[in-house]
Amino acid sequence: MMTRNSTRILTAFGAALLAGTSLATAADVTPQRLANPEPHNWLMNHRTYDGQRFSPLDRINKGNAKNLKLAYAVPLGGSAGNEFIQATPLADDGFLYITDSWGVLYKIDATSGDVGRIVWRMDPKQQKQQRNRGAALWGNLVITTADGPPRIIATNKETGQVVWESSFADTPDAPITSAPLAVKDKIILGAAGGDQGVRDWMAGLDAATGRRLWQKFTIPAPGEPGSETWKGNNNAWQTGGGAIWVTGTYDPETNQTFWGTGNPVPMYDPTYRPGDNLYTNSAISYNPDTGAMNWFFQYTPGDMWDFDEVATHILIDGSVDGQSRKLITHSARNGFLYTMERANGVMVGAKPYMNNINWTKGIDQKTGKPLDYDPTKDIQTYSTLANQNPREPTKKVCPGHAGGNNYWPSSYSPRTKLVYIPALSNCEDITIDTNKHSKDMGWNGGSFKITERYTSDLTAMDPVTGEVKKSVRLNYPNYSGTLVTGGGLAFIALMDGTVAAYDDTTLEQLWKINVGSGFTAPPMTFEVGGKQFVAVASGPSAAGKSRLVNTPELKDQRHATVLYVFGL
Amino acid sequence: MTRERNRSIRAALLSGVVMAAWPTLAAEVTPQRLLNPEPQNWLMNHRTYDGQRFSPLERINKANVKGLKLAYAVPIGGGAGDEYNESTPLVEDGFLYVVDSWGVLYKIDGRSGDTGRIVWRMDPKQERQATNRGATFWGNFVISTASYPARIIATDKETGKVVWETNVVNGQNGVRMTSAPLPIKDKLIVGASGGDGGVRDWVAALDGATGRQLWLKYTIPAPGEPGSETWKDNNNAWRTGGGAVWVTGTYDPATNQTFWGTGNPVPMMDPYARPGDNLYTNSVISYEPESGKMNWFFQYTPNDGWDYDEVGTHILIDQTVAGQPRKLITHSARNGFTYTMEQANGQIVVAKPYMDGINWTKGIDQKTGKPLDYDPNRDVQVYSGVANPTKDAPVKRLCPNRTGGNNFWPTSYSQKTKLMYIPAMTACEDVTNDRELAKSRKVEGWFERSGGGYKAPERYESNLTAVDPVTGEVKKNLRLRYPNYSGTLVTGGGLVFIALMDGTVSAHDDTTLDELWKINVGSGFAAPPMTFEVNGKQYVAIVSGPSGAAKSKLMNTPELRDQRHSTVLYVFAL
Repeated sequence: MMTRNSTRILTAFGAALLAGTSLATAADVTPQRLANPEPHNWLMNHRTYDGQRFSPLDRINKGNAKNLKLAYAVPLGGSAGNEFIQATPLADDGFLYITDSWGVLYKIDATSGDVGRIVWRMDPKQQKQQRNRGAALWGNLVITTADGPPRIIATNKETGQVVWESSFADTPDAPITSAPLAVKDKIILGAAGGDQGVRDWMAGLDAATGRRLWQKFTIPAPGEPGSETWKGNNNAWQTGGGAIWVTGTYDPETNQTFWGTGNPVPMYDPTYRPGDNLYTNSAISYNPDTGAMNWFFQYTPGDMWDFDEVATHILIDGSVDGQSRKLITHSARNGFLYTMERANGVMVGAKPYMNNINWTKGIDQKTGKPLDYDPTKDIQTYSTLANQNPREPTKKVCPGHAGGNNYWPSSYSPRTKLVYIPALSNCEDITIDTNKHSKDMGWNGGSFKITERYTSDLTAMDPVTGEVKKSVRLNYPNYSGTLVTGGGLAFIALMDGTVAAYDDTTLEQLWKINVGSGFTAPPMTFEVGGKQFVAVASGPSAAGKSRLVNTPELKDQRHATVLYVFGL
Repeated sequence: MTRERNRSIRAALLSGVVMAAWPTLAAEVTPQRLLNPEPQNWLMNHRTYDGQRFSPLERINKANVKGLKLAYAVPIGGGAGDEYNESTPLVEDGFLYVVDSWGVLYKIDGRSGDTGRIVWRMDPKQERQATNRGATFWGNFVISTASYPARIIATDKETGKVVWETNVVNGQNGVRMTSAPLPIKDKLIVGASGGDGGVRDWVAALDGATGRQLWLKYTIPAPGEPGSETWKDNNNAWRTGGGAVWVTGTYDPATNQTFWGTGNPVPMMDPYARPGDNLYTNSVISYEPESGKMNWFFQYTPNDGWDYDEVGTHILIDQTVAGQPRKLITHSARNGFTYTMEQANGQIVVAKPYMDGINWTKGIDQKTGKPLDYDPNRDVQVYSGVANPTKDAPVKRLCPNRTGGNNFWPTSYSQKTKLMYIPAMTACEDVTNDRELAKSRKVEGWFERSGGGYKAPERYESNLTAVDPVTGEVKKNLRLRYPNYSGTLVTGGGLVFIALMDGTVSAHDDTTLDELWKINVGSGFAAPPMTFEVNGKQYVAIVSGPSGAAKSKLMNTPELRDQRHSTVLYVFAL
């Protein structure tokens, strides 16, 4: 019977293709809808092209958040041990789309408001689990990533049948872990896996067919612009990293798409790769149609602490010196929040969002470069307190190698005009190892040691002035991110299983619940049937779990991959 | 401190003044506490020795249950795929104890009311998952079972350290220990399962202080023993005859009897392979806990060919019959009938169907409790003639299906309403005793079972049925869209709690059975709900994560085709 149904649907689909249409139904996710998403929906990874992760929904608000409760839960995965989720669910008119660590895409019917029924699952048959940060919607397709080999897959939103699959088997060691970004008729995406000694890249696909239209490496080959910043004789550029593992943002007005790049590899050993190592740890503005680079800005040249800057580059309209300006802001892994001109990356300001940063004395407010950055040095020393070098092999670095902020997203509220930054708060000891740059030894160039308990801060910051307006210390790491809403609430989720809502001005905790499992996926919100819901999937990655080594009360904590949906 | 306490228990026991000199540390679970558990606690698998699974707690009640919501959740397991949970959590003064399918015992601090922190885990290092229905308290130990190999383990309640471990394989590697042990005075009574794998099962007693095995009684008699005349084959079928004991028994302190239900004969689908009544399968057995001596037994479905094992709880109730106070024992049987008997001797009081459509027998003799169409002169029973596969008609429709009716998912009994709340499956199945047929027709939906197989032509649903155990009258019945593999809990607040395979947990009025509250957590359930109180607040707790058998009951439920499951302890409160 099931088979018969599928056949019928496939026939219908085939007929539609023949008719030259793309099954145009009301629910198609058009470029117009992506540019102006309905308030009740969450149509792309960061909800909007500006990456703000702000939802205007306000039925759940400061006045009633204390009444939030579990509406329903939907287990994901379940067929293997140590599964985890990093995906932001998408919501389109009451249907949720989420991926698990097997690359399995779920369509969940949430229209009833009290149960989430899985409508279909698309299983790309990965042999191993892989990070997967979610899907994109385009037309009547759901676009996801899968691994083994790296692939982009388009699935029919109604039937769950695969429409096209685009393979990146030519770079088999570069998994694609971030959700793709749908821009007009293209799908923009980037490759990760840099820490395994990979040369990463960006690409644009034809959304209708999956055909690869352009591909640009984030590490230049010899002779290309930027190649002069890879100075050794090791051909380090071939394994230089620069991974892309968080979805970028897009400005339709100027047709720029902005993506953050990862650290240079080997990550803790700058001696293997003298120079600034472009375009690692950078924000890059691409033309989505061609992949041409408009401009770039590098945060930590010659990095030796794994300070990759993949996290969102949020587009905001701000007022600088009385002038309204189009800005781009980024809470960097290295502890600073940088705000730039969207048109060209010119620095507006760069201020610390956390205390105790020790790797540099500060940031030059004009250039955005560390004050102690020396362009004539092949290997930077910065403040000299934390620089990795064989003569002083172990150094304490603050923030630790994972940040600060990281891939767990900051959000920006147009209500308060503040950025809500989830940041780890502790330092780490990092030890250089100049032998670790091979397949056998690994590509870390050293190791880190945890000397402190990992805790986190929720910090509200004015991105134009760089002023920290408010910060609250939390007893557990936030590997999940923040969501901020029109109801004046900032939502977070912590590694101890807490999901909580905060007042977006006072950062007072207004509501919380504990579901036991840690989180490494971001919270989101949607509305259906006139009711607002907040959704977040539990199940931490191994990296997330490892942040609990100095948290004795969670020594025996277990985890589960469950989509939790809360409502009033 | 802990070692001191252990020593003092052991010394007390050895000195033979068990009851009088029992150590009186507040947190120790003494025989007195087990006899009269504090209302806020749940100290043994069925909460009380009478197996009622009734909690007197009433802060959550008919008037306010609509405000029930998730208080917190605690993931259990997580290290492997397809984990499941059948364990009833125990609660003592705000600490919960639950076991997972790896035999791992968890102590969870539920005192804060908004978070369940795992205090310790005791991992018995099973190589494979096995069904595990929970733990029990004894003194300052938590007693749990483990399989691969079959073991009983005593863990110090405070430290999580193993105090003793007893291997109970007793020469049969197929033995699994799946039911929670029952502590009675200085002993632990345990039952062996794994019957369907061709094991001769047993009930045994261990010394609570040391774990030493004190007695062991097989549920299948050896040749020459009483009952052996009911195994008439020439195949030594008794050696692999089953009679598994996989749900915790009950205990009547007044008469010092402990009651245990036994499983089906093996091979399960083929009575021709083991002519005779196959004692003591599908029976209730009253044992004397000190010696293991059988006081009496009653067999429900002699020479069963439908997997109608009767391990489900035998609930002890005090009630008036015809003006006389009587001590009764009642059982909602897998075969579709409620049987109520005299506790003292198993004399039938009443045996009435709790569901419609039963076809394997025309009914039960109200005097003997035997099926009306039972013929003691037959080696292989025919019963109604409708459901028994034969050589000429190897496929028959069977109602209720193999799994019941009611099964291991517990019925509860309310002292408020004097009714029992039976969770029962509703679908019929096709069964065969033709092994080749079951094999060859697999493509047509046949599933093999020992001695034959089955096929599921219908959607499995369930009933929540309120039955008066004295009259056998069905007072109220509610049809539910999904199987209840979890059981029922009934409370002083007038609420019946259930959980279904679609992830629904719900509360029902104990009189009207109206649904007063529900939530859906997505994952199916195969573990029973329970309730406890700490710091003046009542909670309802249940662990999600269905077994493979439970999941297979969704094969005709297309809307749950893609359902996923997770093993999470959910705790609800106002």
